[in-house]
Amino acid sequence: MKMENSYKDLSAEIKEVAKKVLAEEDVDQLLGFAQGEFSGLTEPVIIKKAEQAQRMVFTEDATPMLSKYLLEYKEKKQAVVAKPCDTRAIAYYLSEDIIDRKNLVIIGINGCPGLKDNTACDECDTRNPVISDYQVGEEISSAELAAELKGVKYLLEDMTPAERKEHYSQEFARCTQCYACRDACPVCYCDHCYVESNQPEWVEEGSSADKDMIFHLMRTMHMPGRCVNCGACEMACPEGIDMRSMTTHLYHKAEELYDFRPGISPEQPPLLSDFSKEDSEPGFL
Amino acid sequence: MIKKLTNQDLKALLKELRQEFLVIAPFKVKQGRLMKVLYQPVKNDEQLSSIYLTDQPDASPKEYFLPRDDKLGEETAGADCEPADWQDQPRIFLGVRSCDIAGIELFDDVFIENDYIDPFYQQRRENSIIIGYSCSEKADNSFCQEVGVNPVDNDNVPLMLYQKEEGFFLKINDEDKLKEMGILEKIENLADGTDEDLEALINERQEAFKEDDFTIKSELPFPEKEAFSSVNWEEVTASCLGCGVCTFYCPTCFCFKFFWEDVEKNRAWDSCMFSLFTEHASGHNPRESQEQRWRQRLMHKFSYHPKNYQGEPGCVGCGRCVSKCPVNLDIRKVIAHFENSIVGEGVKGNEG
Repeated sequence: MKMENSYKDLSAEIKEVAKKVLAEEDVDQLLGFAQGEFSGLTEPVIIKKAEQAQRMVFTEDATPMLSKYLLEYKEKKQAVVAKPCDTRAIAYYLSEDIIDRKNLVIIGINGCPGLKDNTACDECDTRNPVISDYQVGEEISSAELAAELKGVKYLLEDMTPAERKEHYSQEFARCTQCYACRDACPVCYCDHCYVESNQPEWVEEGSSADKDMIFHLMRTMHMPGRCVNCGACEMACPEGIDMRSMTTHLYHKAEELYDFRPGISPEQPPLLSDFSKEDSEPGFL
Repeated sequence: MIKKLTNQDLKALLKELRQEFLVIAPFKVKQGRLMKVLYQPVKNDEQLSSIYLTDQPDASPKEYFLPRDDKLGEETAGADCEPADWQDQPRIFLGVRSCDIAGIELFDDVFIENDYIDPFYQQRRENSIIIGYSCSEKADNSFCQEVGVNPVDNDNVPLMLYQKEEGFFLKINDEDKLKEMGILEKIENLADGTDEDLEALINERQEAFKEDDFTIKSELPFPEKEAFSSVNWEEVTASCLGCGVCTFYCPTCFCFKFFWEDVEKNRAWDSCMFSLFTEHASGHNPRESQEQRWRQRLMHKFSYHPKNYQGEPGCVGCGRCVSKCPVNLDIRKVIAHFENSIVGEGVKGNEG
C-alpha cells in the first residue's frame, strides 16, 4: 500500500491554503482546479477572491499543468496550486529566467498521489515539490520513493532503436495535428512555434503519417533537458497516442549521460548551456 | 412503415446489404490508453457481431464526408474531377445518432445548397444512406435538445433504428429513396411492428431526456454587437490552450484550408482556434488572442450560422468539445457567461 495523500484530504487543505493566500498575500489571482459547473469535470480555474477558494479541488483527473498558465500572465503576481511536476516546470522557468520568482506564490502538493491513466506517474521521480511557499499533504520520504521506483522501467526502455522506430510510426500515424500535446506541455512556451511559421514553412500543410512525424520529431528535438516528464502531452492527446514514448527516452538519457534532470532547482543551468569537456558524446540519441 | 427485427434479423439484413454497399458502423477500437467508439467500414461478415451501438461514438462520421486530408486532383482537371478515394460502391452508415445526423444536414446546407455546390462533398453525400439510431440515454456533456435536436426520434433519415431490450424497431421514413437504392425489397419481408409500440418506446425514452441544469435562454442569432462590446471573453475562456481538439471533433465544424503539392490541389481541416487561421500575409492577425478565437467559434455557431441559415444553430449539442477538451473548457459555461453578460443590456437576441 502506497503511503500517499488522498485527493479528498488534499482538496480540503488546498481550499484552506488558497483562502489564506488570497486573503493574506498580495496576489492578483490564484490558479487551481475546480469542478465544472455543468460538466462536473475537473478544470483549471483562475480565482481572485478568498470566498471562491471553496471551489478548489484536487482529483485524479487534475491533468492540466497549471504552471503553463503562469507564463500567460507573468506580469501579474500569481499564486498557483502546483503538483510536484508543476514545481519542476516552474523551477525550470526560473532557471531560464523567463518568470520572476517575486511574482509567484507556489502552493506545492506533497506526496502527490498521481493522476488516473497518466503513465508518467508510474515512473515519477518527484513526488514532493522542488520549490514552494506553502505546502499541502504529507511529504513522501526519499526511501519510500526509491522503494517504489525500484525496478520500474520507462516506456520502451528495453526496445532497440529499430523497434522504437516501428512503435513510433504506428502510434504517431494517428496524429490529427491538433497540437494539443504542444499546447498542454508546460515547457513548450516559445512565443512563436515553428508550426505557426509559414515563412519559412517548417511543417508542410497536410497530415500524412510522414508529415505528422516531422512535427513530433521536431517537437521532441526541443525537449532534451526541458521535458519534466509530467505526461501532460499524452493526457491531452485525444487520439491516445503514446506521446511520452519519445520524450521519456530523452528524459532518461539526459539523466543517464549527464546526470541531468530538468527543473530540479531554479539555480540549475539548462542542459544545453552547460558544457564540460568530459561530457560523453554518444551521438544522435 | 415500421418493422420489428431480432438481433439475428439485423445481422442478416446487414450481411445482405454488404453485398452491394460498403457498410460503415461504430466499433470499439483501442487507441493507446483510450478505448474509443469509431465509425469504421465493415470488412467481413464476422465483424457484424462486433458492431457497437451502446455509446455515442467518440467522433461523428464527418471525416467520411469531409476527409481530414482530401486530395482534390490536379488543378487543371476541372470541376468534375472525382475525389481521389472515390469508390463507386454506395455507402451505408449504420447507427448515426440525431446529433450527428444534424451535423450532416448542416454540412448539406453549407456544401450543396444555396449558391455554392462542392462537388466532392456532393458525390460523397449522394452516395451515402444513413440509418439513424435512437439514443436511450444522454451522452456525457450533451445538450442536444437545447439546440433543437431530438435524440430519441428522427424523420430526416431514410431509416431509423430503435434498440429495444430484445431486438430493434426499424422505421422507414423515405420509401422512394430506399426503393431507388434497392434497399426496400430487402426490408419488406421483415416482421411488421406497430406504431403504438414504437410510440410507447419513444415516449418512455423522452422521459429519460428531461431537462437538465443547462438551458439556452437567448434567441438565435446571438447579438453580435453585444458579443463584442459587453462580454469578457478572456475571463471565461482563460483556460483554453489553443489546440484544435474541439473543432476537429465537432460534427459541424467544416473550416478547411487549401494547399498544393506540385499541381495537385489538397484540402485539409483547419481550425479557428489556431492563430494561423486568420494571419495575413503581412503578419497582421485580426484575431491575435485566444479569447477572440473563442468568441469567433461561439459566434459562428450561435450567431453567424443562424443568421445565414434561417435561424438554424451551428451546434448540435453532442458534447464532444467538452469531453475531448484537454482542459474540459465547457461551451455551456461560455454560453451561460455570454447570456449573463448581455442580460443587463436588456437584449433578447436577434438584434445584432
